[in-house]
Amino acid sequence: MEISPDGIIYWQSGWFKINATIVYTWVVMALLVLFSVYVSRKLTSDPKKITRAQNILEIVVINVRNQIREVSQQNPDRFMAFIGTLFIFIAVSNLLGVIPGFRPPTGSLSTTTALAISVFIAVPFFGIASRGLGGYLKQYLQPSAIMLPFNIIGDFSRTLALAVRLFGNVMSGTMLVAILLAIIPFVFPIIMQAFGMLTGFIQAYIFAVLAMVYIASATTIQEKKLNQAVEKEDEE
Amino acid sequence: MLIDWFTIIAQIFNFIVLVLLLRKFLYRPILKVMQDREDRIRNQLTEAEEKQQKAKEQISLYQQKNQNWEQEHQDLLLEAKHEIENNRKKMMVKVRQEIDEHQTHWQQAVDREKKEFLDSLRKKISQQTFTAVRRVLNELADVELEAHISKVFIDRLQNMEQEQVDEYRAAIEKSEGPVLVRSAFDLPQQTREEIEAVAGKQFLNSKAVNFEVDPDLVCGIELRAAGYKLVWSLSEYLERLEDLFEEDLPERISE
Repeated sequence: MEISPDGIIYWQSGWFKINATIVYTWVVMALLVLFSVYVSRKLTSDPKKITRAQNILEIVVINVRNQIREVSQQNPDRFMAFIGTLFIFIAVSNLLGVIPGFRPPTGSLSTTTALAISVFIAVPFFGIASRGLGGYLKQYLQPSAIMLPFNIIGDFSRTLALAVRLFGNVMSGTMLVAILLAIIPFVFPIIMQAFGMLTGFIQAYIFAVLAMVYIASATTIQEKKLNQAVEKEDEE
Repeated sequence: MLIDWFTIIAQIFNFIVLVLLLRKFLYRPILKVMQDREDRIRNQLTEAEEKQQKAKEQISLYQQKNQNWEQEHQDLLLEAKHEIENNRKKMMVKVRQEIDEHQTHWQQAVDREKKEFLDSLRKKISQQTFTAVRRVLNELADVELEAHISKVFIDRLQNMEQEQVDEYRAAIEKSEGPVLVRSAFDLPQQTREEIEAVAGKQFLNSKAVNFEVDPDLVCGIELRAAGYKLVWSLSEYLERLEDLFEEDLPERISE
C-alpha cells in the first residue's frame, strides 16, 4: 500500500506525470467550481428566494470572513480568496476521504508542501503589498539585527511545520483506517472514519488560521506602529 | 520519496487556479449578493423609518386638524348661541315695543272714545239742561218779572263804578253809531225812558238810544255802545253754568 497518493501514477511522459494526487485535486477542484457556478447562477439578494445551496455557501463565506476578521483585525476581503480557498480545499479534501477509494490530495506531502509554499509566498506578498518592500524586510531585523537569521529560520520552519502537520494528520487518518480494516473489519473503522472527518475539518481550520496569523503578522506591524505614532501625537 | 517536486509545482499551480476560480465563481458573487441584500435591507429600513416619520407627521397633522376642527366647532356653537341669545333679546325688545305701541294706541283710542263720549254727553246734558231752564224761564216770564229785570238793569246802570263810567263815556263820545239796548221782551215806554234817563245821566250825554227785542237773551237786557256791553240776563248765568259744566262734568264722570 502506498503511503502517499503520489506513488499512484496513471500516466507518465518523461518528467511529466499524472498521479492520484493531481487527479483527486482536480476532482475536488471540479466539484468546488461546478457547485459554485451552479449556485452563483441562481444567486438572489431577495431574502425570500434564497436557495438552500446559496444559504450553505453564504454560511461558509460569512464564517470564513468572520474568522479572518477576528484573527487579523483587518478588512477580511483582500485575504478572503486565499484563506477561504485554503480552508475549503483542505476541508473538502479531508471530508471526501470518508469515501472508500478516494485518496485525499492533502494526504500527500507534496500537496501539503505546495500549500505551505503558497503560504510562504503569500506572507511576503501581502506584507509587501500593505507595507512596501522596505517595511516588510525591516521586520526581519526586529527586535534587533541579531534576530535576522532566527527570523529567516522561523519562516522556513513554520512552513515546514504547516506542511508536515497537515500531511501527517491526514495520512495517519487514512492509514489508520486502512490498517484497522485489516485488523478489525467491523464497526470500528467507521468510528475512526467519523473521527477522521472531525480531525480533517479541524486540520483545515488550523491550517487556514495559521496561514492567516502569519499573513496578519506580516501586515499589521506597520499599522500598530502607525497607531502608536498617532497616539503619541494625541498625547503631545 | 514522499516529496515529488513535479507534483508540488503542479499542486501550487492547481491551488492558484482554484483560488482564481473560486474568487470568480464563489466569493465575489456571494459577497456581492450579500452586500446587495444588506443595502436592500438598509434601504428598506431607512424607507420604513421615513414612512414611519411621515406617518407620525400625518398623525400629528390630523390630530392638529381634528383639534382645530373641534375648536372651530365649539366657536361656531358659541357664536350661534350668542346670536340666538341676541336675536331673542332683540325680538323681546321689539315685541315689548310693539306691545307698548299697541297699548299706547289702544289707550289713545280709549281716551279718544272716552273724550268723544264725554263731549257728546256733556253737550247733550248742557243742551237738555238749557232747553229745560229756558223753557221754564220763558214760561215763568211775565210782566212782573220783566219789571224786576228792568229794575235790576237800571240799578246796575246807576251803580256803575266811576272808573267804568268814564271809560264808557270816552268810548261813546268817540264813536258815531247809535247806542243799542236789546231786551228779551218788549220794554214798556216808562222803563225805556228810565233807562234813557239813567244812561244819559251816566255817560250817554245826548246820544239817541234804539231799542230792540231779542228772545235769545233769555229774561235779560243788554246795552251796547262803541264795542262796550253792559248786560244782565239769564243767558249770561246760563253760559257761565255751561262753562262750569264743561269743566267739571268730564272729570266727575271719568272718576
